[in-house]
Amino acid sequence: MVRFTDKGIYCIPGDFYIDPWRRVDKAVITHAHSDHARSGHSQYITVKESIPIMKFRLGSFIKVCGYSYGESFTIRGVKVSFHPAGHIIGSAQVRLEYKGEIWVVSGDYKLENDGISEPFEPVKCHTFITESTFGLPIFRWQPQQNVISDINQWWKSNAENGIVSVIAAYSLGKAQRLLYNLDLSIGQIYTHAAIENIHNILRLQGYKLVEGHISENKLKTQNFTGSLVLAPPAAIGSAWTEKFGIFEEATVSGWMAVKSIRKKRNATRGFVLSDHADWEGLNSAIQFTGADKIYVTHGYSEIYAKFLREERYDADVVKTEFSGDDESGLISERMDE
Amino acid sequence: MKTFSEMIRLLEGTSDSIQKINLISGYLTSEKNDKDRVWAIGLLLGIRPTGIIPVKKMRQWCIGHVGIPIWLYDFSHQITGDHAETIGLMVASEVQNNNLYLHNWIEKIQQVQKAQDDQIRELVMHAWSSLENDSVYIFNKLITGQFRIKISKNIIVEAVCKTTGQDINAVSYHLMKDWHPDQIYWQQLFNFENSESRISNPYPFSKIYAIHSEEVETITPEQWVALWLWDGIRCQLIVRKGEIHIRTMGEELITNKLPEFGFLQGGYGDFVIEGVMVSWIGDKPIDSEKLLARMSRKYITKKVFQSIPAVFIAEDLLEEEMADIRFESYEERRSRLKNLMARINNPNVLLSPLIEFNDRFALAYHRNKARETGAIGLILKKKTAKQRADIVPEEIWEWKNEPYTIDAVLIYAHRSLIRGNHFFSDFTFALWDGDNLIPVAKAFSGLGDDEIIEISAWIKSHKIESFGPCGECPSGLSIRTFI
Repeated sequence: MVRFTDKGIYCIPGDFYIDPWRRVDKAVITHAHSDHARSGHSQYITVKESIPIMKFRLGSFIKVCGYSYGESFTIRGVKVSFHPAGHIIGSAQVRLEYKGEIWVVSGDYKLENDGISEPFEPVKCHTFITESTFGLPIFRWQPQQNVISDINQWWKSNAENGIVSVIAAYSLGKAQRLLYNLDLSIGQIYTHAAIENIHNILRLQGYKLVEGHISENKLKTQNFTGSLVLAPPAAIGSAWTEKFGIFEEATVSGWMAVKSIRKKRNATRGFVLSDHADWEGLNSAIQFTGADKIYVTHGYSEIYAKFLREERYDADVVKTEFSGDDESGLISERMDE
Repeated sequence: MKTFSEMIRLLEGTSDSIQKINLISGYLTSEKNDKDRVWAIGLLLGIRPTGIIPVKKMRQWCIGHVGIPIWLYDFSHQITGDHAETIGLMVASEVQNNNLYLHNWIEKIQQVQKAQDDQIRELVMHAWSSLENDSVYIFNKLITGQFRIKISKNIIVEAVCKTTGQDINAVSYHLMKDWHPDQIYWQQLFNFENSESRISNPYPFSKIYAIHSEEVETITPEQWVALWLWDGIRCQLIVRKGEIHIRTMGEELITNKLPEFGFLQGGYGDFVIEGVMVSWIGDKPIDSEKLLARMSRKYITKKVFQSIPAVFIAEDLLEEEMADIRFESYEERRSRLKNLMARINNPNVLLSPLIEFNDRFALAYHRNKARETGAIGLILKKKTAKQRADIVPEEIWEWKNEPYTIDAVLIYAHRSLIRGNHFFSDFTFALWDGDNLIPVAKAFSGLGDDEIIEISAWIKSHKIESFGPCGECPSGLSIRTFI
């Protein structure tokens, strides 16, 4: 029913692609991150909640059609439905059913309920295509509340010492998750314009995200002492952050688990929090689906597929653009988006 | 334990000295347990607990505990580049119910030597199931004997000063004493009044930094002196109350390895001289490796004595008749040293000669001639230089010879442990011996990022065969690097 092509995952009877990376006619999109929702497709099909952000990122002119979670619709005889993936707001797994055969494409996912994304729902299927960004047993996450309380503590102690706390967080995903969960009684949270733009859209959708926009004017005049600033990684270390006076940076990402990566990214203070499933998350997600056939993509695909085969699954690798350096099983580090 | 692990995690993530000082002093302030504080300083200074379990055993226990195949462990290890960390990440639990202190764990680790395998395993499992992942990492490092952290002594000294408010030279001096965390209390470690062990204490060694070429232009014979940079063991000859002690820069006491200097006890007064221990035959020193080999021997035969005689080349006088003269000018100390040397007048103790020069061109000429003298370059000292423990790099420089070059064959490239696993940055080189390649050197540094990226790209694109995580490349790349 599904074929892996150089444009991406292709549903043969339905004649559509899922998260394709080259231009196609009909693209079913799991979520609005740029490595999944690319520009240039003639028609987009996605979860309703994801549409405003996709239009913001890809242009308001795109032709897009949205469905609710769990609502099924048919494309050329293939029954399609979206199910929450728990990765970010509006992220979905795609379920495909054709002549009694069921496939699920996971997109990116995490199992833990982060309090803002629609929580992950396991979907039974015959064949499961899973991501594997953190598909190694060294990646095991602490419960969100532990990490959030560590971040709160860091922020609090900075605030007491008159230091501004600056966190590098992706504008779609991590930023909302932090803003939703951090302890706002410690101080004010400010957000970089790139994040505020996303929040403006999400607020219209009903998400209660505290306003903290830093205008050019504010940047010059405001005293930020004791507050926390959320900024996309690219803004950190630029002239922009220097305006805050004495500040300390932290990076929040699953990759922060590994010392050499912290070092490479020059991240002294790294909090380990990811929007992807950890090792145990991947394993239990696969178990939940009841699938016999597993395809692995996006991450440590070769290694994780090999592990699954030893666990008696029929497992293979989906080659994607993002596992280009995969010849020896070592892949380039994916963004933890 | 957690406060210590957190400090180490942050220390390992920064290269900023000020931040390091703040982190250490923050730890010393917040940690209320004195025994932990003493051990922490000891560990940072490189003192390690005894009791060592091979990494291999830990790895075996880990895969059993986690229930994963060994190849998956090995692959994960490639990503982190560190067994202690790999295991820490794999076994870390959510349950953190441990109130044991760092020194409690160290006590347990030190008992490992006498323990049965079962008992050791039980200790390891106990640690793994009750500590959070940073602490498991530290525990693993300690029990495998691999705890090392690159922190300069100055940073530790400054952090202690910041915490205790004491004088930097005094702290530096006292941290170099013979002490072990097991045998000393915090109060004793920093109680400077009590100095009965002072007799063998060295002064902090002079810090000699490599000179940059643009600074060479500032060197004038009016303000500076030039000495040979000898290749040997930098140490201090300490004669106090008629008793001699010889200390290396690594604070090792090596008096009993060097009986040649026993004659200095009595007759010449008390003094502390800094200089370089070499082996001298004829009119110049011989390969310093030979002296090192001699020092590592337990017993020294007469033959060894004669073939590798130890000679101390005196450079600087730091103390005379129990008076600390480090804050006088080098010129003044040098003239006192000269008088002392004239009194000693013994072939085993030489005064490092001053090199005459008129300008920097003459200096460059002497530097090029250094090898003929048996030296490896020049030391440049300001005539007014004091000998201080804090950082004053502009008063004393070393100007080393250009390195030798060899053509070697790159036989292995390893993925980087520091730059992450995309790049090959650690190299093994070999030389031809007939038809065989003999590995001679491993290099971890010397190349810039651009070069590493270029080499990595070449390796990746030329790989002709893969064996699991290994691959094979044809010959064809030529690089030049300094080791």
